Amino acid sequence: MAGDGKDAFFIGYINAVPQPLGRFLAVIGLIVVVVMGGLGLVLSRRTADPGWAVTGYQHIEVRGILEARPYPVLRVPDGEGRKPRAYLLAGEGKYGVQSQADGLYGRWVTVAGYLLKRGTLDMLLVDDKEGIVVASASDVLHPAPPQSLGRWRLTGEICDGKCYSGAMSPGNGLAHKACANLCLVGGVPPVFVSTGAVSGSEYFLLTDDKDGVNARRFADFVGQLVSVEGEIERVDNFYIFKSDPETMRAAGP
Amino acid sequence: MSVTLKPVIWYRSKLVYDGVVLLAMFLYIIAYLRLAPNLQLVSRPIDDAILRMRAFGSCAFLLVSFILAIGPLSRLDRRFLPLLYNRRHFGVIACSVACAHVYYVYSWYLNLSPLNPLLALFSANTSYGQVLGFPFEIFGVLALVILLALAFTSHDFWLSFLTPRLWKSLHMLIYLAYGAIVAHIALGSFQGSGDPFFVMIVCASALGLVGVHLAARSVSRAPEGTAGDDNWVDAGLISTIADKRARIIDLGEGEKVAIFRYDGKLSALTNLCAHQNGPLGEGRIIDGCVTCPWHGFQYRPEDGCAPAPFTEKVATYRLRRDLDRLWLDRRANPPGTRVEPLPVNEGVADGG
Ligand code: HEM
Ligand code: FES
Repeated sequence: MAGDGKDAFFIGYINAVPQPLGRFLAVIGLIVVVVMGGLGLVLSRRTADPGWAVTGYQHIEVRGILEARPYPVLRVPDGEGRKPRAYLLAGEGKYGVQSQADGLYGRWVTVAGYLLKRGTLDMLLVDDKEGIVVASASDVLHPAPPQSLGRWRLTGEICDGKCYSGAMSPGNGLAHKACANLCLVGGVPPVFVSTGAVSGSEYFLLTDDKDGVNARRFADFVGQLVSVEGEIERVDNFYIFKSDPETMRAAGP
Repeated sequence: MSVTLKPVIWYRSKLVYDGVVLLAMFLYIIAYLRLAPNLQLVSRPIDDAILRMRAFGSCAFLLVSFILAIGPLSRLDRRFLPLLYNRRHFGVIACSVACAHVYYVYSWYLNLSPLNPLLALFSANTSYGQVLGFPFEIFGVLALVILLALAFTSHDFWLSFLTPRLWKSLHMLIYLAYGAIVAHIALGSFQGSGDPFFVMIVCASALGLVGVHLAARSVSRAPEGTAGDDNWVDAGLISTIADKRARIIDLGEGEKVAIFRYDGKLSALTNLCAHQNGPLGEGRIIDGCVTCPWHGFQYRPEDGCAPAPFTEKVATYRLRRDLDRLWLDRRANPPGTRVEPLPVNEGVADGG
């Protein structure tokens, strides 16, 4: 037999491996083990940054007026040095809170849930039980009407507001599309993340220009770069993009 | 070899083999999930479930790539042959890793929604008409179904139940599964995080695999027998067959014959081992028997029968000579038919 083991003949059920062949196999085994360990380290280390979001899962209770825009939004008046704020609401799991909010629009409520923050977006993950309860009216203030910022064509990505605001990390992109679609079907508000800011914000609650809540219309475009036209409105700290689905098209990267 | 089927027979070499595969897998997963997160440059940690689905998914891909490379590698360099004989355990391990991947996708991306997760898998994304945003999960489903079917039928029981021919065809589906996995990654992960290094690893694995298969093909392609009369084909010069080795003659349509030279004699058997269709012609004569390179099943060269107490039989073929030129009858004898071996030195000088 040649010394390099090339000529060695090994049969599986015989335990003894001829020596040079044994060395060759040991080297192959070692290479496989080292390469796998190294690849695991390098591939995981190269993970893309999901971006900053506040996800301390701090439980809070906030009192304000519930509005349908058309997704449930909580308007919290100013006071004690705070500016008025608007919170987007979503439920636990891949659900919106439409059923809890039903019948309470226009009324003062206390909402209990976990706070997520990303950029100009504030979102409350409303508790399943007693998440929204009617509260006493406050005489302080009536929420300001939405302020129109005009018509825009924006380029960006349609995400589900909950995962993008921080409930998942990362919570956007095409790998996450099926998950995002499920959130939208469940009533979680869609969020448009623009590549350029409008009056300081890159994040917009995405509705269609009929003020409809038909997220299925966006399903084919979720997670990828699109461009779309629509009216932008500002409500306290947060922005609504009333887009015209007819003008939506895929945009180059 | 088997007289009856045993559940799984363990040998020390099998344990070492499985041990190395498991070690490589565990190191990959631990490096991915435990070591690397401390080195990631991220503003907030990646979800555990997402990191896990990526770790197990990419690990399964790498394992399947390696499994598919073993066959052609051992054609190119016989020292890889020992890696072949326990490939089935390797396959079952890869399938389990893929299941872990799917479990985390299921419990994180598909769960907790108004739809049942299985329904969600098929209905959440229906953008079949576009490349960007295509429901790449569907390719994962195809790959998973194949991997599960192969893992399930990997035991010898299924081999004899389905017959080696059918079993082998079924297990060729692994190539379809591999194609599906590559599509799954190209339409999913590449469009999502799109890490260029991962793209490079996946492309290099897939292209490397195609490369070794092509290289192995050109090595193993036997010269096509040139037709003499209708049934006898030219099998080349006797003198160029090495002692205790075989020449493989390709009769076309997947039929190959191994002509062995041993003890100054020549005998022809089918190239397909009765166990798992291993290439007998790449084996050797050991203790007077043709010995399959894959799992060591043995056959007497003159009648294709395994020595007692074993019962396997393979087809034999008739040979005849014209001076130093060998002729092979393409009509196979029923398995186990005795054929008188052809002496090498019959008045003619043996060129070797
Ligand atoms: C029911 C079947 C499957 C489903 C639903 C599925 C789903 C997914 C999803 C959603 C992702 C994206 C994860 C992310 O980065 O956010 C993914 C990635 C991946 N999947 Fe699957 N998958 C399935 C089967 C498979 C199988 C059988 C394999 C391989 C053997 C596989 C290999 C991969 C790989 C390599 C990735 C990329 C991981 C990375 O980005 O590092 N998948 N799969
Ligand atoms: S294929 Fe297993 S011994 Fe021949």
